[in-house]
Amino acid sequence: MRALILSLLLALALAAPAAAAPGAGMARIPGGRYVPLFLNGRPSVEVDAFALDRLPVTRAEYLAFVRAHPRWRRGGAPRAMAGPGYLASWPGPLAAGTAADARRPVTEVSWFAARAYCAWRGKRLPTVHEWELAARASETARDASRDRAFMARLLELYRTPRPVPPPVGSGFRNVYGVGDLHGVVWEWVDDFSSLLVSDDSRATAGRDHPLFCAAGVVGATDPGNYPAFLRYGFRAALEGRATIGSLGFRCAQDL
Amino acid sequence: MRSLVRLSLAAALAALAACGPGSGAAVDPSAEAPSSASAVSDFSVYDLEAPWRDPTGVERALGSLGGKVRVVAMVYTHCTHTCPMVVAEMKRLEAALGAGERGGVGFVLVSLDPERDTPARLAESAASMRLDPARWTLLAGDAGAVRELAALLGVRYRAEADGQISHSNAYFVLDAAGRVVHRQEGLGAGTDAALARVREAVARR
Repeated sequence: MRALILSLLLALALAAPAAAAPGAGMARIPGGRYVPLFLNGRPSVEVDAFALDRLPVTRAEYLAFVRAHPRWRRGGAPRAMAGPGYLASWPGPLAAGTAADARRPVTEVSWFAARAYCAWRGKRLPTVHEWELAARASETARDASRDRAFMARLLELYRTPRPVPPPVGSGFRNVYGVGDLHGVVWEWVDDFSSLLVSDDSRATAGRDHPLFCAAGVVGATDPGNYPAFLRYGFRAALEGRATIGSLGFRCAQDL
Repeated sequence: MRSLVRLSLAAALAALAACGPGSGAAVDPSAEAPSSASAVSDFSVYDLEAPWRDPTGVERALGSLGGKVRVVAMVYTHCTHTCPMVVAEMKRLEAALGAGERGGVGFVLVSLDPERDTPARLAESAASMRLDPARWTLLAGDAGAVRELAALLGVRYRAEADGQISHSNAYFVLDAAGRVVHRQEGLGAGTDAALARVREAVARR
């Protein structure tokens, strides 16, 4: 009897689908139900498991991309897809700076450029829900969004001026092994255009809640999550061509 | 040049800072300030290469709109709230143009709804809205094409649980080369400013 149970268990174990393994340099983020800062007429959203780069894309990695794709070199990209600040601090179109510079996250890249890079790697940009799901993890907990000490740490990281982004790997690694989600650079997400928030006419754009103080706090699911307010506010102000010195990206992949 | 990071960034962060202790967000202070609404963009919308389909199902790039001044809005045909108002405002603009001017101007509705706005649906919709096919072009693209154009124009949109798509109430005037010469954001501001930009762009054509 015992042997039968054992063999049944063994058979079940063998039959269970193996979790897809993330690629090199990527971590698996288990999916799950997740309550975003701003609800969308839904109680929560379902995020499928996905793979996320463990670190932001570096200048060295981006240099390999522009070597392979002259169209994405500084001066080569269509102006509609990269603003005038595109890779502006690079010494040259094929020069990413010193060895130390090469280890910094690439910034001054537009959303169009970030998407093109990820596509070149066979990946894509994460969605805002994916990014936020991964970013609410601390070193020890998958969901630290109610951990006041963790929130205070994030705010401290956000408020620390960084005229030049520090090298990748400077930030903490969370429980998934994903590092630098906070306090290194801001990061592009694929659907940044889905954030309908504004102090201008966009406030009339739908039945959404404006993000700002009073109204925003009323509409948010977790009014105490100030770091998330900052991230959403930043993304909501972007346009796809924007090339900002504190804005980089990392890629994601379906599993 | 139109700002890349718009006034709302500063306003958002100022407002957020007032809400809580996060006053020192690491945002590049050199982000450009917005310029006047009549400035011409330094880029052409026609640089986007993704293919679109018109109501006849013919594939075409945005660049095929070049040569005429275009008034462009991103809407969707199942919209019951504000899209009819955006289209109504564009029609007022059309009506305000003189007979001699109309030949140089086209009106373009780009669908935000790749799931439901098939070419056939666009054709039906154009007919029911009584859009003159000589001047009005309707386009549907895949989700990536829609996202790219919205990102470029600064149009925000989001699918809601009830099947509606929340979106910016905006339309844009493009010159013959596809440069954005005017953005009209919000409804009810009247068509004077847009009309003036259209006429300037027609004269420059």
